[in-house]
Amino acid sequence: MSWIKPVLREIFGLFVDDVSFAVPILVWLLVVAVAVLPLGTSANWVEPLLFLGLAAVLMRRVLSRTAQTRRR
Amino acid sequence: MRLARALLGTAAALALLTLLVGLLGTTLAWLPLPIIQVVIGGLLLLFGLRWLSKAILRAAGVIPLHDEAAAFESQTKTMLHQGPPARWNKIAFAATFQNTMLKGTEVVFIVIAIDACGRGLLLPTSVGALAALTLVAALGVVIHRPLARVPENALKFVVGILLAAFEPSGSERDSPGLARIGQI
Repeated sequence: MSWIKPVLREIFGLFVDDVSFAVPILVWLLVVAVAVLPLGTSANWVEPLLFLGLAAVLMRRVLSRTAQTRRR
Repeated sequence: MRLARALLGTAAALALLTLLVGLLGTTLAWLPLPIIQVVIGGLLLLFGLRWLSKAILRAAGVIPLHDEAAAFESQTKTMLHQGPPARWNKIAFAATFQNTMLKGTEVVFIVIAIDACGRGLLLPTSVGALAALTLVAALGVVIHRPLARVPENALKFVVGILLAAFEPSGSERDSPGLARIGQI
């Protein structure tokens, strides 16, 4: 049964290997769902907004990792 | 003999993973679809964006590309030191079982997620996953070397985009998954 712990760790690691990357993604989803949708925003705006926020999170991640690597 | 033990380890892990898919797929079918869409959609985003960010960083040279040949050499050395030749059959079984379980959990999640959000897709996605596993196992048996020439990063790039962009089927134009979060 020694294989259970590595499998559970792997399952968690599928979704979160860096909390500073995972949290902004979830926060943006909540912001769009809780703050934007109830305003009655047209669906034509919600999806691009969702995309832009997630793209910004992804870009921030790539840039910060690049900066970290350069500093070493 | 050791090859047979290794394949048996893979088969055992595969049987367990198949059971997991059947169990989870059936259980999720009882839950309300909007909740599944929200939870699975969020998890798919985390999973897909994680793969995408790593693929971008590897393509940009910020982190090194995965070297399958080096990983194979390292694992071989580790296993050779784990015990006398008399134990190698057990080691072969244990190693393939654990590795198949570890990597198989990613596949199980993708299969479950696609079925949960687009009902009735469990069989085709499972068949696709099984076909891929069979191909890789057959190549391993025939070639007897790590698959170092597969464009792994390009594949991960494409899969990352597909998973992050996956939209639950039957969704209305106003993103019902997100609307459900708002309602809750």
